[in-house]
Amino acid sequence: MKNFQLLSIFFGLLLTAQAIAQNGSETEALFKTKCAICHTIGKGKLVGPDLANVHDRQTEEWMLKFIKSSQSLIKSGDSTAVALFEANNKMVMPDPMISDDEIRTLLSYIKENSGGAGVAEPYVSIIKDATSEDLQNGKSLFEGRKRLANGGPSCITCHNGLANTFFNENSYSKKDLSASFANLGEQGVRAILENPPYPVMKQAFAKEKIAPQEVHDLLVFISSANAGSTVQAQSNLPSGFLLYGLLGAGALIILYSGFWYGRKSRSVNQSIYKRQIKSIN
Amino acid sequence: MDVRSQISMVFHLDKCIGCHTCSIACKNIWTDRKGAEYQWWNNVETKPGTGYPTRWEDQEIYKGGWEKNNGTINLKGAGKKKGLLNIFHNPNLPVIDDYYEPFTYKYLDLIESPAMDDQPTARPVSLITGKPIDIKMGPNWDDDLSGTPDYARKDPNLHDLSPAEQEAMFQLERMAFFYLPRICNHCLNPACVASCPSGAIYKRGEDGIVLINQQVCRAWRMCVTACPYKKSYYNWHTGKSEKCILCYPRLEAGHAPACMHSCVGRIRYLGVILYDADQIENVASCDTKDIVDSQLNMLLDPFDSKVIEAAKANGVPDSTIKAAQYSPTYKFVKKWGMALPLHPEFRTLPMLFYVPPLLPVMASLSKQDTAQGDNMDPIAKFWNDGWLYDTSTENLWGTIDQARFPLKYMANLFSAGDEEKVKIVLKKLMAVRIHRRGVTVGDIPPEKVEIALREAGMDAETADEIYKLTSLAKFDDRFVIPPAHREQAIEMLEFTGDTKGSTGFGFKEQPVRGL
Repeated sequence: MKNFQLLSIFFGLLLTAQAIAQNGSETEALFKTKCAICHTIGKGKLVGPDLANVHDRQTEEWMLKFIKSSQSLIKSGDSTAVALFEANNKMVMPDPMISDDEIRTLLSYIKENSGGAGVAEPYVSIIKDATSEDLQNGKSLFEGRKRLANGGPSCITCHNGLANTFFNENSYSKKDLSASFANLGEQGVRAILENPPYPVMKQAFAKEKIAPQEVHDLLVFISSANAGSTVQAQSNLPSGFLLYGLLGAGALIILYSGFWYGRKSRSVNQSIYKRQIKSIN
Repeated sequence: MDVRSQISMVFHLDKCIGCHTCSIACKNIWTDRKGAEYQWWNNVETKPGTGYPTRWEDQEIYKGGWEKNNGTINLKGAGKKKGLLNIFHNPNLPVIDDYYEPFTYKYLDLIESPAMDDQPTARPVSLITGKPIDIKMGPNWDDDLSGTPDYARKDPNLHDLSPAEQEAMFQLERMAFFYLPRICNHCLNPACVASCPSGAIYKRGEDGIVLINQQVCRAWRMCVTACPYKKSYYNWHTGKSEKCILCYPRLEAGHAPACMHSCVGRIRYLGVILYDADQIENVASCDTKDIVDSQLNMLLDPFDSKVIEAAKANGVPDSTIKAAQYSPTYKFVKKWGMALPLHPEFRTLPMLFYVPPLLPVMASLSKQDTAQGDNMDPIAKFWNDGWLYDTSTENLWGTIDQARFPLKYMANLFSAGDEEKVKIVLKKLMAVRIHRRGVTVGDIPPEKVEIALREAGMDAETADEIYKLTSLAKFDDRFVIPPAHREQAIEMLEFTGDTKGSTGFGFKEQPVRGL
């Protein structure tokens, strides 16, 4: 499965010092749209790590680069970035498409809010008592048999439950959603549905938000798709697998040679041909 | 009684000189085509020898013919179950090297080569790949090579001869061989027909000729495996199997098949034999020791009024019944009992019969009478009787009992190992010879002739009849071809009155007008 796929969420958001006073609420809104889906400040890990005191862990220079385009940094081989990527299920953090200044503003915002570290509110699942009607409804919405109430495009426009990507590998949007629950959890998926962070999806649902009941039904459906995922995670081969394979192959060879024993394996004239002198090479 | 007619053949091996004219006649007419170069629908083998394809008689290699298990017979190497097991690879199939890689020579190089220091040569090239090859084998590679370790001594028919007997066959100066021409036997219980998964092979109702429908054949090649005589060949170019068609287009026109027509030694006879199809299964599955007798028993007397009646009831035309009454093969096989089927133990009930060769006569000098006699090797036979040109023994049937080929060898070929059957036939041949010697040369005492005829179970008249059909037979005596009645056959398909006024004129395919 193509791991990198999904989404993710970010890390950082920023603020510049000067912006705090004037644009406090604006920065908060920016953090909410760009970062809060995956990150908290002092409320524990969501999809991505808790950002509280992130400035103690990384330099601003580095964070600037990472937030701007985490994948480029990872591909350039930066060890910190790679370690972070590995530590978070190889979840791709989408580029937020904001200016350096905005990133700095968000970073300041995070720094400022890091003080009030608290305990993450436990997430309460909204699909625990889902009914099969919800599932059917979610399926219909996903497959486009039923239109979304606000007129947004059906999920199937870009996604299906199977492997294969619709966009190319470096894209943020991936076609296969079957593993999304496993990777993001209900909270992550719900956040994406409610407030799409990906450029294409964001654009698509900019004016036509998915209604809460529809989010619920889609979550039910996507979670069921996850349960019956067609994509198997690679597991470690049992020890001796190779040995048993070889033994099995050997047994089959012996069986077949017994079965074909006495077959006519070559020309009856072989002995005559063999001693004839060759003039043509 | 289910009386049917079968065109049967008799090959008189005593007359075969091994000239291969039959093979060439056949090749020129039918198999001089791409993919058919290696197919010899008619071939002539030297015996003892390995034949074509090499060691075809050894069914442990090729798994042809039928085998008897628990009272019933099954195909040895084909059929539903075995076919399914071998569906991707049939290990019993002969490969091209079991035949030979067909070749030609680049003759044009001889005349088109530019002037050079050396004479141009015509290199051999494969007719399959088109590339130069080393010729490793040909269709008659063992021709006349009796006694050779590679060929004669690997003859499958030697299997139950003692080493001493085998050695005796191949002693220097005593070594002998004879020729065995072979075509498709057009069997009564053909294994090829039974094996074909596509149902492409059939035995014609009117004359029993076994044919492969080229449009139905799906290249399973089960017939190649199933035919114990290896007379079904796969054409790698057309992807269809082919076999001897007994020149049926010639037969339908009243001509003898090409191989028979061209036969220099006039060894071949062709005629109709009526047989009882109800008995096929019983005969094919009887004990090996009875199979020759059973097969001969199912051939019916065309003069018997019951047989004629049953034949008519079965739709056999009067002209065919009449042809059966004049049939030379009926005389050789049934009336005189002089012809035997080749390898009856394959249980296909072949309808090509062979008059076994009277073993080579060897005249030698008398030890007593000549100055050279004292110098002779003790192994040489001597002669002091003076009544027979065969000087090997004083005894009447000495040439048979002390034959250079053990009778067992002949019996393995023609009577499923029963030496008595071959011996009777050879005695008859010998008796005719003695009788005619008495008539024409007169140096054999009449009482000896009398004894010889009596012991062979025939009278002088029969002996003369045999002599005439053997030595003096004209074309129409050797080939009694029943009229095919194509005029009636075509009436079943179309109304012949339509073309009555324009016979011989018109279009075979109607011209197309316009676009």
